[in-house]
Amino acid sequence: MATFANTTNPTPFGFFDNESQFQTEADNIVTFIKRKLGDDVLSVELTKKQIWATLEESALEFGAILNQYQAKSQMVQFLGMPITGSDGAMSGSEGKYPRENLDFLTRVAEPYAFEAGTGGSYNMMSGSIQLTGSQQDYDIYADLKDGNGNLIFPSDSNPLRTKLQINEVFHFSPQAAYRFFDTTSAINYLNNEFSFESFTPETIFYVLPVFEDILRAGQLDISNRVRRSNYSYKIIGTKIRMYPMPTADTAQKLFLRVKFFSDPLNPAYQDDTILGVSNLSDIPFGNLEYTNINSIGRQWIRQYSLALSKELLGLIRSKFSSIPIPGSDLTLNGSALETAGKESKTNLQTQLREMLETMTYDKLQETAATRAEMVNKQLRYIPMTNGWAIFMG
Amino acid sequence: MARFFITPREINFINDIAKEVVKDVVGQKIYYFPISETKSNIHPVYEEATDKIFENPIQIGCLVKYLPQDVRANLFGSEDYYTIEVYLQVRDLLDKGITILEGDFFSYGSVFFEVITAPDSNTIYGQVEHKGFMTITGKQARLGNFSEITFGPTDEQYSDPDAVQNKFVQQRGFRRNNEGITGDIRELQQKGVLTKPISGPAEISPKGDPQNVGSSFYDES
Repeated sequence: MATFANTTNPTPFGFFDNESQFQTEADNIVTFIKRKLGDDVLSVELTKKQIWATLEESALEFGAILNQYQAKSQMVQFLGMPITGSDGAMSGSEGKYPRENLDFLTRVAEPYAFEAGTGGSYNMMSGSIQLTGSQQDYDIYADLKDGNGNLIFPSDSNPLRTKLQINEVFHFSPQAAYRFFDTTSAINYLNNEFSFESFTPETIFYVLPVFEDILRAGQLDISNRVRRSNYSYKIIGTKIRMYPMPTADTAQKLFLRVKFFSDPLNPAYQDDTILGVSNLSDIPFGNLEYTNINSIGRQWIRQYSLALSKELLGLIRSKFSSIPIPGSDLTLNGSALETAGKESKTNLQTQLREMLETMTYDKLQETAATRAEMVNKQLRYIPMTNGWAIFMG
Repeated sequence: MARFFITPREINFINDIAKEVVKDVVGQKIYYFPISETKSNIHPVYEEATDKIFENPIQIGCLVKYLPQDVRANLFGSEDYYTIEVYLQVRDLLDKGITILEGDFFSYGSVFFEVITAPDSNTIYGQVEHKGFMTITGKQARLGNFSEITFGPTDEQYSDPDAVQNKFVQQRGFRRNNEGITGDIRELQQKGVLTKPISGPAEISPKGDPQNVGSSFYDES
């Protein structure tokens, strides 16, 4: 009699054909299914190859459901990983227990760091607008140039030609520091004119408490704000309006730092993780090896194989709902078998999914937390000698 | 139904199902006595034999429509007169090389019948080359016309050992079962589409009833 091992192409896909444990199971499943469907008494019109096909499908179905739940638990760890294993096939990560990491979290938080100027994956660009006397409004898109005098908006740095996002405008009131020690010093004015701010040219220092410095700085800041022109700007559309209006043609420039549309597929550096695992369809989970499936799984596979066989036999017998024989028609039980098979399949899938639902890593954490709470609750009922005790774990 | 959907494989499937019903479930049978044309002394002019010689009887699984007997009154009293309709599966007859002819005899129970009509059978889903069951009508043979030993089951009122059939053995495409050679062929098995059943033909027999008060299902070999 033809066994699984000496049959050519025994299963449609042949994923498990070379595993000796699958071969043994395949030979046994024929008897199991035929016996369960009554072949000891009346014929079961299923070929061996059909039964083996149901076995293979069952093992694949089991693996697919398992992998779905495994992906549910582990997807965060795998995002960005290569989609193929070391052998080049889209597999190799199934049945593994990977270490946790926070890469996904930091990746999600990255844009906020970028906005805050402490990280991110995109570059910004500085440019300047040549200020002109008596001109208060400037067009950022038409006037902002890089150090070589090239316009920034139509440059190659902005290939998508979309909105420039202004990150910083270097236009603010002079620091109070230069007036710290000598508010009337001519040097202070010179420093201001030549933009040598934020330092003091004085060489004479007084021993004063720090709060005195702070109070004085506050006083000077308020003085600048109230008694002198305020430095500010407004950005509306493509224009920036400067306050105060430049009063004379000088070589001074207004510097801005801008960023472009953040193309998520082209960050500022080479990032191969973009081409890595992105969703359920490309996580490198291959078929489970039959040899590594335990008795729980194998019994599910057998039962599912039986359900598939019922459905298949039902389909075969449904082709002729009745066969004419003298005196009456012989009614075949095709539709009943089909219904029973589908019902069994649904039940088995539901049962497995419900079980796996309780075993995702999130759920395990919840369970562990609940158990810890329950332990605490139990401990409250344990009498302690003299009212207190130390528990040794 | 269209040939597009009913291929020879479907015909085999239908025939096998029919054989299973007749031979593995229902278990009715007749004993068919074909006339031996070589052994009978046939008159050269009339082409008839006054004393017909029959071949050994052949057991054929069938479905039987057992009609109530006519009771005829005549000069000498009353007489029971049986007529019967028997449905034979054509593929089974072909497998066994049996041709049913008018004038042949068969027994069912304790009564012998002469084949009155043996018309062509119906076709399977209108395919002329594939026949389903043929219906033969038998009329009770007169005792003087045909006399043979009877094969059981006959009637439980008799005390013959085989008057009541307490053993029924399936055939299921096996060449041989506990009762001997079956001559049974299941096309799907023969053509390698299906394998043989996982166990041998089951039987209903005293072996299945340890209390020995009757027969029951038995499939241990």
